[in-house]
Amino acid sequence: MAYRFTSGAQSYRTVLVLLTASLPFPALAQESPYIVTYDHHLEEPGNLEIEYFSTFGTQRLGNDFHAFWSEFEYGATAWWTTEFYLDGQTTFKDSTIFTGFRWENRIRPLRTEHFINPVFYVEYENVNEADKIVKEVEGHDVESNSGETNAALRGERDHELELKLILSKDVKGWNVAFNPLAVKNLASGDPWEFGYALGLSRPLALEASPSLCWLCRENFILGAELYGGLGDAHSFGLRETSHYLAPAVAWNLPSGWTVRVAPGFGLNENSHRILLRWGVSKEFSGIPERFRKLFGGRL
Amino acid sequence: MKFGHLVALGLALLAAHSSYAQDIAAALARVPPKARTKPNPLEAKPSASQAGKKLFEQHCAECHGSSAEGSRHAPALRDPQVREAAPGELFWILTNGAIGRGMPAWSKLPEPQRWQIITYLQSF
Repeated sequence: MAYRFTSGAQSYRTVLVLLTASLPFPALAQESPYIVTYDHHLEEPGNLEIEYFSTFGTQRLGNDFHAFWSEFEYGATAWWTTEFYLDGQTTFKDSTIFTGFRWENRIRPLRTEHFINPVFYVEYENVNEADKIVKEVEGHDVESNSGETNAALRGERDHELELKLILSKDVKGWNVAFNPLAVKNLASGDPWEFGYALGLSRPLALEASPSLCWLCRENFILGAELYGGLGDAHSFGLRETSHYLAPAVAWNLPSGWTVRVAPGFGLNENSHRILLRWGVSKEFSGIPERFRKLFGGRL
Repeated sequence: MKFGHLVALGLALLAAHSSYAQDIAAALARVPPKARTKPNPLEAKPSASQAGKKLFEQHCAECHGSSAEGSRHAPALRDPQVREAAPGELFWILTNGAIGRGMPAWSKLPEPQRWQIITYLQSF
């Protein structure tokens, strides 16, 4: 098999970097370190966040892989955030392929903060079986599912509906978030599959320092995530499921960039031993206004 | 610019200001009584206003203007109603936002940072 790591993945990253560099209105982000878990904080209205994430995963009985995805997250209103994903992966000693897209929506039903803050999450996924970004773990997702070659996996395409209930709370600088999830493959008669994600995080400092600084303690948010599958409607539970624990850190830079790193460790024999994740993102504000100006105020 | 245009512009600005003043009054009226009495723990801290200015420029200036002068999207916060409001009232509005009117909840900022922004807003 040809080793084609450079062509697809590098050009993909180049396009993203050029795209982010061409949008000149950065906004300061205050992003959590979570990569899998969601808290109840939505994107600010009119802001666009462009994100790139990588996951390096180990694979027993197969080749290790580097899965990557980009997210375009837009605050449509103060209570609705919509997000579009493009996924791809490189399986070492195999090939680099585009694996599909996702469209996600998060809707906040309550207008004020409560003891626990719920957010409804609805996502449509159009991805093939070779997708390895492991953005969530559901059902009986286990390591051996992704051990085959890309040629064998990419033929089967999933159309999935994913529902999450995001429950999140901020207390004394800590964020605690819990996301139970249910997934239905609309292209097959498979049963509903279930999973969970749990996150805990806190900034290193709660007060901001008076001056702009890169290395101020408040710019760093530390946390941890625990996520895994819970079987399906026919066999609910922990049998033949995989689970991960991932310490995580986010570095929110004054320039509007955020860097996240989260090395995940498999907790049982069904899990990948390591899912090393990292990502960069940048937020841009006032997008509708920029478009209006671009079209001479006619929009 | 013709005199008529200037008058129209002036009237439009006056109407906008009046509408925003009503917005601020309406937002303050929504604050629950218990939240109004919450004191600002950073009021006496000399650096709080300066840190609040930095946070304001990073998170709030896009809509409220770089000097809190307001914009077509959000009210000016250099307003006597803001200056004279109880700190707890402003804290509640900042924490919960005005979701229906486009202002997001800023509970993602830690509590001390929200108090720093309020200290800055009440220093005008």
